[in-house]
Amino acid sequence: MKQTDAVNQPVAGWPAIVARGLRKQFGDHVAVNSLDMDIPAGSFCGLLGPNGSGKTTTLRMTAGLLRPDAGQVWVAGHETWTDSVAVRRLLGVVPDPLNLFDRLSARELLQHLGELRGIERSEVTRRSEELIEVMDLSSSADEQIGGYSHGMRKKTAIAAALLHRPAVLLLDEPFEGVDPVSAVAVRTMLDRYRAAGGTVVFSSHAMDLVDRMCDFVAVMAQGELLAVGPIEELRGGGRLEDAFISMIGASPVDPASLSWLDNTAP
Amino acid sequence: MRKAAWSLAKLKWALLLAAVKGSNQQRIQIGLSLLLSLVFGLSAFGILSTLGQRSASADQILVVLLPATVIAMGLLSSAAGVESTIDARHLAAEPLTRSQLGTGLLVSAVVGPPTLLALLAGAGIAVGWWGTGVVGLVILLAAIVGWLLTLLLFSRTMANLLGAWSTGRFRQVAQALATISALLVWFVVQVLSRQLASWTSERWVQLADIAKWTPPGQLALAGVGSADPAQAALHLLLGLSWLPLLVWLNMVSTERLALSSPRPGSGGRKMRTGFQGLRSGVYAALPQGQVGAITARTIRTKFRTPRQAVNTITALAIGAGIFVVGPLLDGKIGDPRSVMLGGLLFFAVLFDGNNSLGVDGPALWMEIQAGADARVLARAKALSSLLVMAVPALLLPVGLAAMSGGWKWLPAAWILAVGSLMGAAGVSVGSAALAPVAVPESPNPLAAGDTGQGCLAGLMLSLGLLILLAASAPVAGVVLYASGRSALLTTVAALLAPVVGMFLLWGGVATAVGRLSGRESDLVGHITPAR
Repeated sequence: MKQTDAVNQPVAGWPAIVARGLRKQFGDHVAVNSLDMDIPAGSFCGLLGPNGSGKTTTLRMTAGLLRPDAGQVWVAGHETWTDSVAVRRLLGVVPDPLNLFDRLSARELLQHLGELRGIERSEVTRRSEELIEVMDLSSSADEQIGGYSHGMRKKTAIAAALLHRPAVLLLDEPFEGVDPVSAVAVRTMLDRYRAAGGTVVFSSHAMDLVDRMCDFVAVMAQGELLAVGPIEELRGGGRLEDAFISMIGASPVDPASLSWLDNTAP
Repeated sequence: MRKAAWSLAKLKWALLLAAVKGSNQQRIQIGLSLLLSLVFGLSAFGILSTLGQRSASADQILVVLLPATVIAMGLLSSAAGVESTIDARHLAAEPLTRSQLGTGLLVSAVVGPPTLLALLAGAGIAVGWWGTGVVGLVILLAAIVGWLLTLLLFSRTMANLLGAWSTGRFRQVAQALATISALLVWFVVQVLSRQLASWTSERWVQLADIAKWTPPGQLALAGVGSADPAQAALHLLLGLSWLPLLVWLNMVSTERLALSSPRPGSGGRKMRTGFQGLRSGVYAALPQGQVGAITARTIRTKFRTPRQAVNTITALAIGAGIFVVGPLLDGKIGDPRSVMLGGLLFFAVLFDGNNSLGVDGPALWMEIQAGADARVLARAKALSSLLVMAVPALLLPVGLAAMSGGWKWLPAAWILAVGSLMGAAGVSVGSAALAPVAVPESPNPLAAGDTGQGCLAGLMLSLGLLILLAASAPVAGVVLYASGRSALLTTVAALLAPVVGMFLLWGGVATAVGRLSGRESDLVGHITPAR
C-alpha cells in the first residue's frame, strides 16, 4: 500500500504522547518507574534530566524499541505495542546510540527508508535531496555512512526521521555533536515542522537550548518524572536551569573533596 | 608488565563470567564453547596419545603435525580472528607501553575455553611421545610449551595484522587474504580427508624432511629425541629461537591494531557508492515494496561489508566445492550424471544465510521503525539468499555439462538447483530467526568473537544441514533411481525437488514469522552487541 502523508494523522483529541504506569527495570536497577506523562500535540517538548535519569529508556519505550516491564504508551492515540505499525508510521525517531547502516550512503539510506515507508520513489528523491542540502551533507551524500563524523551521522539520522513527515518526532540528544551552523538549520526545520502541527520531543542537557526552543518540559531524575508542564510554569519566573537544579536537588561539589586535583604532579 | 597482563587477564575473566551470568543466549554460547573445547580436546588427547604410542611413523607424524597446526591456526585466525572479547582498539588511550599492551592481550587471550583444547592436545602429545628418562620428559614438555606459545603468538599476530590492515589502505588486501585463508583451510581439509589414510611411512618421512626445517619442526625433533638429550636440547633451542621475533612482531602488530580505526569505512580512502550501472538495473528489477527494498539493501550491504562478502564467496566456494571439487579430486567427473550435483548449493545457501539477521546489526531498528515487520524481514532474507545463489546454481551445472558432456542432464540439474535453493533458503531464514546472534560489524571478515558465538552459529548451521539432508534424501533416491532409466524420467522425477523446496521455504518463513512476529523490537535487542 502506498503511504501518503494523510495516513500520518493523529487520532483527534489525543495528546501526542500519553504514558501510564510505564516501568522498566534492568537487573536490580529501575530505569523508569511508574511514569505517567501527557505531552500535548503540537508542542515542542524538552525531556530534561541528569545522566541515567531514564530519558533514553523512556524515549525507546515510547518508540517501541524497548519493551516496558509494565505500563502503556500511546502515540497520537495509538498504543505502541498493540498498534505498532500505526505508531511506526506516525513516528520519526533519532535514538541514542545512533545505529545506522554503515555500508549505505546517506542518499541510499534515505531512498531505502522512503521506499520502506511506501512513499513514491520520485517523492523520496525530492525530499532526500532537499534534506541532504539543508543538512549540508551534499558533498558526502554518496559516501558510506561508516566514514562519517559523529555530527554527520546525527544529521543523517535526523534527515531519516523527518523524511516521511511524521506526526511526532522523538529525538534523543539531537544536537549533540552537530556543528553550530547545521544546528541552526536543524532548529529552523524543527520550528517549521512544529508550526505545521508536528510534535517534537527531544532529550537534552543543554538548558539554554531547551529554554529557547521548547514550550513544554518534562523533568526526570532516577527514573521518576519530577515535573511536566508548560515551560513558563516550571520556570516560575526564574531561569530554567535554576528550577531544574532545585527540582533534582543537585548538590554542589564539596570543596574539601577532589583535593588531588589541586596538585599538578600525577 | 606483569601488572598489565594480570589486569587484562582479570578483565577477560570478568567478561566471560558476565557472559555466563548474562542472557540465555550468552550462557548457551559459553556452554557450547566449553563443551566443544572439551570434546575436541579429549578427542585430540585420545588420537595423539594413541598415535604417538602405536604408529610406526609416530616421530615423523609429530614433526609434520606441529608446523602444520601452527600454519592452520594462523590461517584460521586470519579468517576468523581479530574480534575478541577485549578489543585492542579500546585500550589505545590507556597508558600502556607496546610491550605491556601486547603481553596483556596475549595473556588475556589465554583465558578462555580454547585453552582447554590446547592443553588437552599438549597432554596427548606428552603421553603419546614420552620415551624414557626424566630429561627426555622435561625436553618434551618444554617443546610442547614452546609449540603452544608458537601457536598463540603466530595466530594472534596474523589476526592482528589482518585486523589492522582491514581498516587502512590495505583493506582489500586484508579481505582477499582472509578469503584465501578460509578457502585454503577448507581445500587442505578436503585433500587431507581423501589422502591421509593412504599415506605410507615413506610419505611421512618425505614430509618430515621438509617440516623439520621449520621452528615447530625443530621443537618436534626435540620432543622425539630423548635418546640423545644434548641433541634434543639443541633442537629445542633452535625451535624456540624464533619466539623473540614472534613476540616482537606480535607486539608491533597489536600496537598497530590498537591504533587502527575502530569504525568500518573510516581511517582510509572513502568508497564511492551510487545507483549507476548494472547494479542499479539489478536492484530495479526487484519487486517494489518493503520486501524488495530490504532484499536490495541486504544484497547491497552484504557485498560492501568485508565479513559478509567473504562469507558469501567462501560459502559459494565451499558449497559448490562439496559436489564439484570433491568429484574432481576423485577423478569422477567422467560420470555425466554429476551435472545434476552442480546446482545443489544447500551448504552455500545455509552458510551464506547463517545468522542473516544478526549480521545486519542493530541498524535493523531503522527498517523495523520504517514499518518492516517479521513477515517482511523473513521474506526479504529468503529472497536475498535465493537471488545471490541463483546465478551460480544455474551456471555450475552448465560448467559440469561442458566438462563431462552430460548436457541431457541439464534440465534435471536446473530443476534440482531451484529446489535446493528454495529449501536451503527456507531453513536458513528459519534458523536465523530462531538464534539471532549479535555480531558487531567488524572490518575483519568472518570475525565471530571468542565467546562462543561461532559455536552457536555453527550448531545452527549443522542442524539446518541435517534438516535439509533428511528432507532431500527421498528426492535424491527417486532421482538416482530415475537416472538409471532415462534423462527424461529423471527430469520428471526432479520436479519433486521444487515441491520439497517450496514446502521447506514456506516452513522456514513461517517459523521465522512465528518467532519474530510482534517481537521485532526484542530482535533488535538480541542483535545489539552487549560489549
